[in-house]
Amino acid sequence: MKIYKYQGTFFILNLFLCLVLFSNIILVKKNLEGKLVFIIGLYIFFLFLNEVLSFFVFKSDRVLSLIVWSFALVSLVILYRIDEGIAIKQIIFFSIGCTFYFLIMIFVRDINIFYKFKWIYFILSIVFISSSFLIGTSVNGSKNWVSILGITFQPSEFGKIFLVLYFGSVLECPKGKKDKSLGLFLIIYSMVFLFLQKDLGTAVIIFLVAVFMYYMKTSKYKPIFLGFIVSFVGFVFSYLKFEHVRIRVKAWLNPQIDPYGMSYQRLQGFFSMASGGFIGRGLYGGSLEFVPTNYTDYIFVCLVEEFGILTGIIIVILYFIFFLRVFVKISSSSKGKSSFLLALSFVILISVQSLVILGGVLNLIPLTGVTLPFISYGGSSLISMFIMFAIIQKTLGEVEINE
Amino acid sequence: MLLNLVSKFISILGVFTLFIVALVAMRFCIHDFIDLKKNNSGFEGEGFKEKDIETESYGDEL
Repeated sequence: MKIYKYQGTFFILNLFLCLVLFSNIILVKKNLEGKLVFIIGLYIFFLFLNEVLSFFVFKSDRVLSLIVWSFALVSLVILYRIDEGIAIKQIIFFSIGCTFYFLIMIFVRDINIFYKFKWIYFILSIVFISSSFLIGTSVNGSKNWVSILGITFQPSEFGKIFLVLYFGSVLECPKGKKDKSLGLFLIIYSMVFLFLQKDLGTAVIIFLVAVFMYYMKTSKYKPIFLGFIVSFVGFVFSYLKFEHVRIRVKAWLNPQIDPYGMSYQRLQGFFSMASGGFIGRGLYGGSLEFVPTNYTDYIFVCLVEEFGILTGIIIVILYFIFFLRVFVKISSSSKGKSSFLLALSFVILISVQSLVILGGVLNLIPLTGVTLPFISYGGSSLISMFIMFAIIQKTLGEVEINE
Repeated sequence: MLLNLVSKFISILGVFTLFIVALVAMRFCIHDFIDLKKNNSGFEGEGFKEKDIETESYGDEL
């Protein structure tokens, strides 16, 4: 199906969603604040810029753009509802992320160029993964923040990108046993440092993505089973070693164990989601201030409380479509080409991260502190997501050109 | 009261629009999937083909 025919429809749909959600805020607050005008203006500017650039300058998959821009919009609306200052910061991070996205889409001519700098990726992975342990500060039991020149960021978010790029380069152009050994060393190195930083969510994500990448390249089942065994051993080890992991596992097994202590966050999340009902309590109708970490880990809960479980289901479906779209698109046109390994790896990373946080919030797995891709507040997370998104889009753009 | 009602209505309209976004995305995804089935192409459980260094090709596909 020729998708460019519908390009205008996607733009109008995004714009309409933007007008509906922001007009709701204006209606409830009964005035149009300067901050809100700034957010709406920047959002529409980048939406329009993407539309123009993807029409004249680069090829990209419009369905994925529609999904990501909708996520960004929903994120801005709920963050503005929670705290206006945070929404302003988020729109600035969104602008930076979009700028990176456009730069990659415009200036990277061939996706294979990403496979040529494996030593740079290797060094950067080591630096980014270990820096927060060496010079970082601790937040919520995890030592994964670094402050340089007044800018605070989470190095592991960028470390994830360089690790995937390194694994991709090694798997794509292997140079004997040396590369394999270095790849294995890097996995063990990242796991050790992430465990020491108590950033177990990122450790799980990186490990699973590395296993899937190896499987996609070689089609061997052995590493998958081995991966699950190692994950289980790692889980048992972290349970025995770290206090905050034990607390999270206990709160997962029995959320009512300590309503005012260890399981407070989880219970507040449940109450919040339950009070939302099917179509939600309406914007500004919920009690989001009672939900801990409401703008990062528990942003999904806030969305469900104010817009209903229906919105929650739609968001899960949109993540699923994002994943499926990339897989179907690549598998339909890239038979035999291994240059799409990076795009598949990044889409798996985004999907695993969504599953880890959504599963944690819905009490399917123990809660780990990772962000909900494109929706949670966080500069490092949003910018790194846009970089991954750019690589995915670049790959799909090549698929369109080949067709 | 009226304001609350209108606000609620717009909120539902927002959810509905998001639902339309999901439907549109799914429509294109399903069409691609049908095309994939028709062309009988895609992965066949063999993973990626290894690049042949001598011929610079990926096996018999190209």
